[in-house]
Parts: sequence; structure tokens; C-alpha cells
Amino acid sequence: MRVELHGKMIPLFIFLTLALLLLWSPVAAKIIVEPGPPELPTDVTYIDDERFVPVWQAYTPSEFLVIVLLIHYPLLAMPVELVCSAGAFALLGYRSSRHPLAHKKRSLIYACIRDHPGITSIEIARATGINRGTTRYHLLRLREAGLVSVVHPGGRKGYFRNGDYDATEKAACFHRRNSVRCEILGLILDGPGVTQAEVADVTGLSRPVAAWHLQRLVDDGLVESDRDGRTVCYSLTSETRAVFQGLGRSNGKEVLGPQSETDAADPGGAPQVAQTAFVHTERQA
Amino acid sequence: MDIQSIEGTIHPGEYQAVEKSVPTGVKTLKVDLDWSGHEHPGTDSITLTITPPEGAVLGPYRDGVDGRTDEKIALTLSESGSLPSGTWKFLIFGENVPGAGTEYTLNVGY
Repeated sequence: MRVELHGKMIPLFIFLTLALLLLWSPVAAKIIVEPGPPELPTDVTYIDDERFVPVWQAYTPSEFLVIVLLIHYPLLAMPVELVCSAGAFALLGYRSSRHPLAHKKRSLIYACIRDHPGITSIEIARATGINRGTTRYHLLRLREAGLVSVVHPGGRKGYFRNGDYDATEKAACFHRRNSVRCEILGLILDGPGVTQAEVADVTGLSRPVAAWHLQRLVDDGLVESDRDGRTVCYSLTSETRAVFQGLGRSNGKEVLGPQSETDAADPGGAPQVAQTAFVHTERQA
Repeated sequence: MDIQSIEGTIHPGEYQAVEKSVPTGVKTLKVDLDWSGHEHPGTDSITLTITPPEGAVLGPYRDGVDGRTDEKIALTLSESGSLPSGTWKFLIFGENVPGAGTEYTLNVGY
């Protein structure tokens, strides 16, 4: 009787296993994969936001193990994935690096952004000693994780920790990292209604360069211009004044003290950050 | 038309990972891995595995999966709503390639 029962159980066991295999598949069930056209289609938009990534960075060990097994030993892939999802790696003392800040370089970059709001990716690379490509990669990951945001997404990007600043504060932080615009903001704070010629005289800039910097401040809503005949006068917007007053210091020089040494004269030039500006961060790291 | 593609050289037993950012609202994705046109004789074998931002692994795919043995893998991926947006990962494995490596291009469009 017992043997007979076993005889009935075996097909049932095989059936259940097959049913489980059909229900659980490593292939995403929702996505339909079909053969594509033999030649490259020309009526599609090709993705140019692409990069090579080290395999160990792109995949977690368990993800990669499953893929390797799928390529070489497909039958082993499912049991291994089940074991992995059951927490075998945790039992072995492996800590998953899924948390966006679990990566050492990424947390260093994040700390650098926290300490230097408005910092650019080139400045971060210089401050942390991490090469530019890697810095850009981790910045992308931080943005994807919603931990940092940028101002000027179309041009030179300034990075901020999310949730710390509103739009005006971000713009103010970004521009005060440039010593020329920092000085101009100080001038306007001290003397509302200052003209383009006066800005050029005090800063020693040519008038077109002064105009270029002023226009950037106007474009970002920090400064408003008021035309009086042929003269244009500049003053801080109420939001910008509130930002500086919110810092609790009426002294413009203190509020607007340059956070980084920048190559001020060339409007298109990349600001040069003094290494000393980041000594504190590097020591923290 | 300016076709954006990523190019690489894969060696025997080597794995290379490529990440591509897929925007939101994409209904179909065309993936094209091409390693044809090499000068050395014989047929090389490369596998492609695709990992969407959410969900499990697609593949591995080999030459012939699209019904043609032409040293190309051309696939069209679709979903009833829209495909998950974000970083898609493509893993290329040099299964049977010469020691000097085989050049390939990977195009993904929508």
C-alpha cells in the first residue's frame, strides 16, 4: 500500500514542480520579446545616454551569478536565484550594496555636495580625487536615487543635496561659487540700483563681460533689471534679499564671501577651484 | 540619420556591461547587437542578456534567436502599457570569439 502511494505521489510531485517552473520564470513575464527587423530601422530614436560600466558595478553578485548560470547552466539558475532571494548571502555575511550610499566613493561625493552646495562635477572630482568619469557616473546614480538635484541642467551643473534648498537658495549658492558674480551680488546688495557701468568700474571687468555676468544673475531670478532711458539699474529680487537676510547676516561680504576661487574674467571659462577650499572635506573622508 | 551606438571589442570568456537610460512612456524598444563583418574566418558566438530596471533578466539571447543566423541579434521588446523607464543593463558575453576579440555595436532605440 505504501509503495502504491509513493507511485502516485511521484507524478504529482513532478507535476507540481513543472507548474512551479512555469509560474516562476526568470524571464519577465510582462515584457514581450519578438524578433526585430534584419536591418537597423531608421525611424526610431536611438538612445545616446549610454555607457560601459564595470560588471561588478552594474550587477549585484547574486544578479550576476544568476545571469552567468543562465548563460552556462540554465537549469541551475532558478534554484540559485531562490537561494539568493532567501537570504543566503546575508547568512554568509555578504552585505548587499543596493543602498545608493553604500558605495564608498558615492558617499564621499555625496558628503562633498553636502559641504559645498552648488559644486560642479569637475570641482567634485578635483576635491575628492575621484576621476571625472567615475564622478559623473556616481552623480547620475545619486540623481536617479533622488538624493541630489542640479541647477542649470542644460549647462554647467551645480549639485545640491535634495531637500535642503529652494530654487532661489540653489541659484544663490551656485553663483556665489563664482568669485566675480559673488562680488557683483555684494555690490548690488550694498547699493541697489547699481548700473552696468558701475559694476564694470568696481570689478575691473569690461562692460560686455560685466553685462554677461549680470544677465546670468537676471536669468536665474537673483537680480532684477530696471531700464531708465539708456541706463539699466540692477537690484536684488525680494527672494534673493530674503535668502541673504535668512542667513542672519546683513554684511554682504560675509554672506557673499567666495566659496571657491574661480577664474572670473572669462565668461565661458571653467572656474578653477583652489585645492584649499576642500581640505576639510578630504580630511573628513 | 545620426545613429547612436556603443561599440566595443569582446574577448573570449569576457563579460561587458552597458547601461542605457530609457525615458518614460516608451512602448517598444528595438535592440540590435551586431558583430558581423569581422575579417577572421568562421562564425563567432556572443550572448546578450538584458536586465530592465524592474523585473527579472531577459535572455540570454544568441545568434539565431531572431530567426536569422547572421551574427546579429535584433529584438523588439514591448509591453502592453509602457516599458519600465530608467537604466537598462545589457550584458555582452564573448562565448566563442577569437583571442584577438570581436568588435560589436549595440544599438537601442525606441
